Amino acid sequence: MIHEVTSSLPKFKGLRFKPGLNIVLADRTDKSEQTDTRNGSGKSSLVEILHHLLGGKAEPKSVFRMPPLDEHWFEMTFDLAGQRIRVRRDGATPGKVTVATLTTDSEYEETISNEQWKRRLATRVFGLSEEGDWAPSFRSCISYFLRRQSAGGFQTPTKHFSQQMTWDVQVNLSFLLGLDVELPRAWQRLRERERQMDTLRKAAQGGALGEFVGNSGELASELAGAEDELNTLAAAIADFTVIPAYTTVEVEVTRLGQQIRALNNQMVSDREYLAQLESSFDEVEGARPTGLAELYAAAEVQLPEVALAAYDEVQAFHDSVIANRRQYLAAEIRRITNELATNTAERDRLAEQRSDGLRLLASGGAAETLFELQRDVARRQVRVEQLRQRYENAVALESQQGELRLERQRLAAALTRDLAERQQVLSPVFVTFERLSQRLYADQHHGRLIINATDNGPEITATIPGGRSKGITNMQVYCFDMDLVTLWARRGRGPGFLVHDSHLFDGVDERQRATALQLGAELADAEEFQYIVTLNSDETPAELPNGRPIDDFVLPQRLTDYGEDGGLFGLKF
Amino acid sequence: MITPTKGVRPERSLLYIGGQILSDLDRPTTVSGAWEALARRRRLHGQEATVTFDWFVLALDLLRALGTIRLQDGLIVKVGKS
Repeated sequence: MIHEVTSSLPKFKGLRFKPGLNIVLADRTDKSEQTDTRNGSGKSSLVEILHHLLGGKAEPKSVFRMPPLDEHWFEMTFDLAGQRIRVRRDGATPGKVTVATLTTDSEYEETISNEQWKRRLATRVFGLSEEGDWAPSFRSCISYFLRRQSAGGFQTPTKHFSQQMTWDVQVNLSFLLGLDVELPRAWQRLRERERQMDTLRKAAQGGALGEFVGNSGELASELAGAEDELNTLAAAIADFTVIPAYTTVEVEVTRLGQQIRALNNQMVSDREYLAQLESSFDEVEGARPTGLAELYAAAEVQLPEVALAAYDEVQAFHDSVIANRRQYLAAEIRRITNELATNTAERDRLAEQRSDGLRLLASGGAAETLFELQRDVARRQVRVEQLRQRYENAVALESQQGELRLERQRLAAALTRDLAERQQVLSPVFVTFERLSQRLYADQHHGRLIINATDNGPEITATIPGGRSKGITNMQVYCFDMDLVTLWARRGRGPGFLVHDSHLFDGVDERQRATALQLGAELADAEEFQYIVTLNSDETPAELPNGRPIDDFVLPQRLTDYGEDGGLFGLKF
Repeated sequence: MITPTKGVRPERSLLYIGGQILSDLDRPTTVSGAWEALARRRRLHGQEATVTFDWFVLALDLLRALGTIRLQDGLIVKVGKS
């Protein structure tokens, strides 16, 4: 239980607590409602101070590290595992806490780091020793006993802050309710593996082109092809000879090719011409020698009046004509034959030159070509590497997908078995919740705490039927918290206190509010824990349903949101 | 054969061919030149009737016998009317 909360702030309203129900009352005035009530009377701040002294985070923006609180310390005396302890933390050195162990005749004080303090609290409050991934933690467990309105702690019974992760809820509540903690931890490990698998799946489907290659079989084939191409190319590079004047040679070879083609064309037409010449020559050679005599004979008949030149002269002319023609043809044939021979020789010479060039080019290439090839090899290496990665991913994916599905089923079965075996441990938890809800709503509603084994781990729900009114939700939280503190008080461990901020009672019907306070007082006495409630005076009944005056439980130190020094801190900021 | 007859068509007659040769003989021409000019002309006129080199030479012989042309330094020249 908590004995005392104090501070070095001069006007801090030091609070002394008793066993059982403690009501921290704040007077609300009409005047103050119009003023800034950010700091208000400090009811919620009391919860913040308790968190601060129980190892809570003190980030640079925390109020405890900013003016005007940063120059002051806060202190609490409370019972920790049977010992009276005083813990002090100040805003200047938020990483350290000063812890004093008090006995009737001595006092042992030491300063330790906040981390050490949390470990000590974990062991002594909850008997938590295990650390590591996804283990239950003191900070998460204690937050169910010290809910914060600012974190959304009153929205649902199973979460002490609205963004609490599923694993955090499952692991810590399993621990608090006495279930096997290893099962929800195993689920979280499974979820982590599934997340990795998702990454792998995306990697397997991804790639620059985003093409979908679904299975390892296709990838294996594609990989083999890509590797083969890469090896062939790498071998070609190993044999590559760089020719310095490659471009010049290449241009020369092209030019020679054009010349050779031109010569070949020339030779074809020359041969045709030669054939014509030879045929004409044959024609001349075969000219009939007798034609002239027939001409003269015909002339006598057809041109009787005409005087013709002497036969001999015309015969000489005739022979000359034929000789001229023969000479011309012979000369032409010689010329063309020579030209053909020359062109053939030239063509052969050029062809030889060209094939030398081609042989050179075939044996190697330009330096740029080599660089180009090397770049290509690099590109292909990257591609092969990507394919190999995707292939390995696909193999891992395929083999693991099935495993993970099986693992989920296996865990769900194990949880079902575990819940069945723990029925005796759990039944008081269920019964307490149901009885509390029955008392609150006078048998109208039967609330139930239910733990289901789902394939996503234990699903813990605490419900009171009767609509979704804010009041009912808040009473679900109330019953759940009462259930937890009772459970731990019976075990002789746990924090030994439960703190409920006035926000928990916002929107709750007056009768239920009064019943809740009475129930809290009864249960706190019967189970020997401390129930601390902060309330506004105007929302507080004068007496409990059983007739006890509320003043019996109200702390003498009252808070008010009126004036500069009426609040818990004794100053406005 | 000189003039057209029953067996010789007009465009194959030596006189006709001789006329064609003379038409192309504006300046001294080689034998082959005259031969090719005749071939060109007849192709141009669509005259398909074959004229062999023999026949061409006979046409030249006729022109020579008539005193219309002569050979001068191996070239055929027209004999001008003096």
